Amino acid sequence: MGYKSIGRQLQLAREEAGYSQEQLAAKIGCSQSTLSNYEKGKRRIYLAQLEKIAEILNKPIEYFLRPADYHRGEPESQSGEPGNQSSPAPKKKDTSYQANLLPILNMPGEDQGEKTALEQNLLRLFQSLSPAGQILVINFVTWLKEREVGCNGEF
Amino acid sequence: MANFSLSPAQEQLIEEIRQVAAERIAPVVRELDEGDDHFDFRPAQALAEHNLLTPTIPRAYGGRGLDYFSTALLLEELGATCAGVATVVTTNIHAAGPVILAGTEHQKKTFLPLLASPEPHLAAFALTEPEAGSDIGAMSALAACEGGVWKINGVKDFVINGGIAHFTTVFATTDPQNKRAGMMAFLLPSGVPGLKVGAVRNKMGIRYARTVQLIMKDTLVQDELVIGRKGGAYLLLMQTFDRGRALAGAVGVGIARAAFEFALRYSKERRQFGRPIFSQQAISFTLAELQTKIESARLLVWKACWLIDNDLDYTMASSMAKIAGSQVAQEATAAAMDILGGRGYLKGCPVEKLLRDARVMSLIEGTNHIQKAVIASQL
Ligand SMILES: Cc1cc2nc3c(=O)[nH]c(=O)nc-3n(C[C@H](O)[C@H](O)[C@H](O)COP(=O)(O)OP(=O)(O)OC[C@H]3O[C@@H](n4cnc5c(N)ncnc54)[C@H](O)[C@@H]3O)c2cc1C
Repeated sequence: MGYKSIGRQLQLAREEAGYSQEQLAAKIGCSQSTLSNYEKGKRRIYLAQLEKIAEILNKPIEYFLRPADYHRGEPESQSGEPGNQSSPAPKKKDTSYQANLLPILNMPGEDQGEKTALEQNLLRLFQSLSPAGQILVINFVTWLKEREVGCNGEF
Repeated sequence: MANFSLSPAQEQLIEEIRQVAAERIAPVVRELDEGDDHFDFRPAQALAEHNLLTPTIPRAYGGRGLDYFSTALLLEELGATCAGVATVVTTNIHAAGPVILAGTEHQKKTFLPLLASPEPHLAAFALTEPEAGSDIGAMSALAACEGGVWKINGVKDFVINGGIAHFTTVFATTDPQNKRAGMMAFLLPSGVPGLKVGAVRNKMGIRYARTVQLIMKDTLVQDELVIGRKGGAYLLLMQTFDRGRALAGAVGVGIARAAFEFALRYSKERRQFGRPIFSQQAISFTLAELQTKIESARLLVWKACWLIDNDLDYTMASSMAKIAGSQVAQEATAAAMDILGGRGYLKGCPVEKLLRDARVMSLIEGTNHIQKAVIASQL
């Protein structure tokens, strides 16, 4: 559903920029609870408000509108009138190495800048693991990420 | 908000529209109900003379600048007179919505004064496609930019005012993989090359509102006719819907009121078993219940419009108003037909037309199922 995914992107961008809900709410002139509802998808955010937020968080509008799984190249499921709350039919979980790696291999281009020493170190350690170990790490990171952005099982 | 009395200006507006409706629309309602293929400009002309054909156009662009609350009052009156006429007005409001919300100054100056002129100018709103109704994410009308000019290809269906509009607000996608971020809104002036009218839809009700398929084949649109910034069209669309739904509720309340008033009058005149049928509780309680439901729906419409006018969170209220207005329209017209007995079922009886008009109210502006999904998503 559209607004839950917009809310998640919003939360992600806010946290990335290091703002608390209170701080960002003050900057855009709304209450913390309104911002919290935007992030949960419980209140619809409209263009004018999102434009303000996009400017503060230095992101293009499209960033908030693309589905969280856009990098996988999957068409967005029922993004229409929010009505379209139904989640896609549950897919059988593919546990193969390739399938687990796919989300990471296809990360959007903007994440591919210079790597910090920490990232390089992490990559070296990751590459030194067995395929099974790599899958474990990916599963853990995916779980962590979902927890951070409050995934509701939409993707 | 806890003030339920209308202002003198609102009372005056109701008087004004009742007069226009009684003198210029009501006398031709039956004719308007007859044909879908030709458009009778008389009612539109009457409204345009009062600057009420698109009442939400801001004063800065020559409009009447009505807020949503007053617009709902107007639409209840029009709904009570002819829901087809009311729907033409809500379509104009819908089409102008994205321009008012996010259009450039140039777009506003070019298109909005047209809708506020004393000549009847119409606008259309083209979103629905044969394969994308409730699921707008399935939209396939494709927009591609080549050298600063957009080329649109696709088919839109159920477009009210289509082909007779001075401009059409069209939604298309630039990226079939990512329709929400890829959605774009365009202003298509009438006569733009590559825009053709397809089938004229022969409808059960709201027959005054001419409804067609629009076919876009290599339709060329200048970049300056893109509404809002790239990536923002989806949000514009949702905001337009959230506002429009409260107004659809107002039209439903108007239909219900007209059916109720007709049935009430009839029930006091029609005698069976030696007394007016109104004296039977079966009839009077039905009318009492209807009156209660009409009033409830009206209050929901008013609340939603008040929230819109005060820029508060109106999504849920607007969907509730739309559900309540459409349901009461359908319930009241069905009950009124029962109260009228066989006479209500005859062509030419106002209740027969009201019932056909009411039927569409749960389908347009997003079906009532979708409204429930909107409400549920916020619970
Ligand atoms: C007279 C008339 C005028 C119109 N004018 C315009 C116009 O000017 N411009 C425009 O763009 N469109 C217009 N429409 C189109 C209208 O908005 C659509 O008909 C409406 O959105 C429903 O789409 P659909 O007809 O394709 O039905 P579908 O989407 O195919 O729905 C069929 C049924 O399935 C249900 N359904 C679908 N998805 C869900 C879901 N996720 N949850 C629960 N139930 C669901 C629906 O509620 C409905 O009962 C008009 C329609 C009519 C009838």
